[in-house]
Amino acid sequence: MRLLVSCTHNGSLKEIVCNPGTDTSIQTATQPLSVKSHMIENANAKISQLLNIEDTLVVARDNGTVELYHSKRVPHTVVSEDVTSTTEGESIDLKPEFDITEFESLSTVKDLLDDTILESISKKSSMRTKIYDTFVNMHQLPNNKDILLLATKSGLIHIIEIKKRKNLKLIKTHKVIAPLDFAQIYDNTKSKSIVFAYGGEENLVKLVQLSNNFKELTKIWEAKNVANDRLDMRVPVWPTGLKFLNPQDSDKIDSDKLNYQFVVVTHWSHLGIYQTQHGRKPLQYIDLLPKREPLARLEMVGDLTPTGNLKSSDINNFSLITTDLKKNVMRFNNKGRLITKFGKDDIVGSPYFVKTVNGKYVLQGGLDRYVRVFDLESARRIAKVYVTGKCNNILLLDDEDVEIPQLQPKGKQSQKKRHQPENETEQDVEELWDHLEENNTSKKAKK
Amino acid sequence: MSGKNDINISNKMKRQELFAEIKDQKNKERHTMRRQRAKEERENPELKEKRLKENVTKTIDNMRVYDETIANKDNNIEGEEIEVDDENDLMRFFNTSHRDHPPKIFLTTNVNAKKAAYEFANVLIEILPNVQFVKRKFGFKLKEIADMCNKRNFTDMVIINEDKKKVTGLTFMHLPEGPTFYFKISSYVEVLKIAGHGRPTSHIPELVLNNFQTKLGKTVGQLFQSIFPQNPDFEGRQVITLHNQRDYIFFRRHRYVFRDEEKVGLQELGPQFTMKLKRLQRGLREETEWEHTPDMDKDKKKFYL
Repeated sequence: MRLLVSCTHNGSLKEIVCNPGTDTSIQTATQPLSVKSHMIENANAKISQLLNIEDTLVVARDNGTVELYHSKRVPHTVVSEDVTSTTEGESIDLKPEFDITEFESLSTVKDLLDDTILESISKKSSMRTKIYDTFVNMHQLPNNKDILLLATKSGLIHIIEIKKRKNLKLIKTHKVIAPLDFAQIYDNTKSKSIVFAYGGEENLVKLVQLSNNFKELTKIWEAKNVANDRLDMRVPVWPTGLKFLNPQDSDKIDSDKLNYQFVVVTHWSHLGIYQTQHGRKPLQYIDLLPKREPLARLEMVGDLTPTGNLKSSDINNFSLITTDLKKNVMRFNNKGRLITKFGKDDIVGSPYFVKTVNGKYVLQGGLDRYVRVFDLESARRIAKVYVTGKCNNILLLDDEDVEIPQLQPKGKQSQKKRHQPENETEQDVEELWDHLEENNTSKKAKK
Repeated sequence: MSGKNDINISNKMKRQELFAEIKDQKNKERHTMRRQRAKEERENPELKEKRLKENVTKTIDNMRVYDETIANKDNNIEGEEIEVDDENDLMRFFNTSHRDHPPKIFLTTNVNAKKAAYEFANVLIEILPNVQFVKRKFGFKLKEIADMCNKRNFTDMVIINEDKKKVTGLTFMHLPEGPTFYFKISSYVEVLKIAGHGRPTSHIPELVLNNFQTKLGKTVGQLFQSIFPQNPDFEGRQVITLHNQRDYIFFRRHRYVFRDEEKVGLQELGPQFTMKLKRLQRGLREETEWEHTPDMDKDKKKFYL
């Protein structure tokens, strides 16, 4: 499998080529075939968002630039010293053959972030340190793949066009209420206009519609906070992740109201399920963790759209993956029951980044400087690679294994042994079963 | 009694006698062997060097579990990468040039602290440079305290944690952006209890950081580097040692003296205490970067610093 990992300590992008079973923390285990750094800058220009569009890569950095790269696969050249020689004297190249990606910068757009907006917000925030602006989301529009929508923490919504896969051009910038922790595009059904949801600290979830020519941004729906708790205290608001579901079925709906369904996790460990048909308050608001411990990310499990929304309208049967700020990556069901924990006893730092890919894998990276890949269903770890820096974002380019050439076994016996099970036919198996059953009956008869 | 020379004597006293005899013999052999070896090695010092090189004792420390974060040129595939990656991203939060911004430390205790905490604060005031102690008052949030410190140009905040009239912990927060370190404090020995202790002077001490190897260990080392000024007064001849062994950090303070060209004298100034890193957090106690959990103690040969 081939991974692109953004490291925060020098703003680089690391390409990791590894096979399942890789674990760099054990010396004798399988090691990654290649770990190579690209685009090294500095810690202030760390990469926060990554997007792969065919043979181009769009990169959003924390210094406010968005860069377009052309990626090209180049065969990996083996250093001659590493060639292993066999006992027969002839040297056989036993190094696996694989490609390495090279990146060529095509175009950049600068100054897309604004820290000044966040100054007053960070004074009010419950975060104790100053908040810096960053990109919270970057996605292609569902109806026009050449247009990117970027949202920043400071509430700027940038619309950028990729012209002929070569040039980036900023078309329009809109402002929404800051701060933002996410901006999730709705792409479950096809429509001409673009709807996306945003929210953040003390910033309730809002649905906005972007007109077809990108010139107007109108708010179409806003959530309402839940009722006060049993001590009559206000429940704090801080949605940190949102994912849409398919809209409700057509026979029950009220055509005057909007028809959206979405799931929200909050910094105060709530799981909220909203139906715009139901009203502005959530249908359900469940405490996932005790003591309102923070939750950071939300990923759905199942058949997903390109932006990560769930292709199902059933709010009573889904599961989600979320992380806290300590070390847990957890999978919950819609009732708020914990199903599994990923990387238990293995992850030591805050799992900053989690993503489900192809309905098969879970990518995880964070403050403990490891990148891990898990199997989604069994929660078994597939790979673990040390990347020397804290990890911000991961992209899985492909999940194909690299073939590792192996020495032909010399002895004929070993070859024979290996082939035996293949020669076994169904008949043989049946005979064996019959034989076993006969044995059983004879024993019973004796008794 | 198994092995080569089994003793099959049923009388216990006789058996013991015989065993003592055998043991005595073995001891004598060993002593003569050692005497002879010492004599040979005195004549030929190379032999001793060779012997010491060959017979290395296996200790828990040198059998430690492989940790890839220990910067080792052998295990890094791409040699050029070391320099770039070695620089820690926490580094930019710490004071890099002490000339322009000398450390200025804000010292306080937990809310409602007892006598032990104030006594320990008195000790820390002597150790830490450019420190100001403020009595902790109830009703200020951590964010407000940090804001006040920032306005007064403090670079670090140290909080003493006292529980049941004993000092149990020490929090170091770097201002304004973190990180936060929480250490457990144990084995505190006050100055007066140390035999032959000296009296410290107000000179800036030299700092010895021992054995901080992993990435996490180096981060901890950087914390102490940033707290103490990097221009020691050598005429004071005072040294603060932070020695890391098996994840325990031992704090010692000495004064040295050069008796003649070969001999060096050490006088302990005290106090002594031991710290153990429990938690490292980003920001001012925000996302956890590393936290000690009890199951980390299962493997006796795995160390994190």
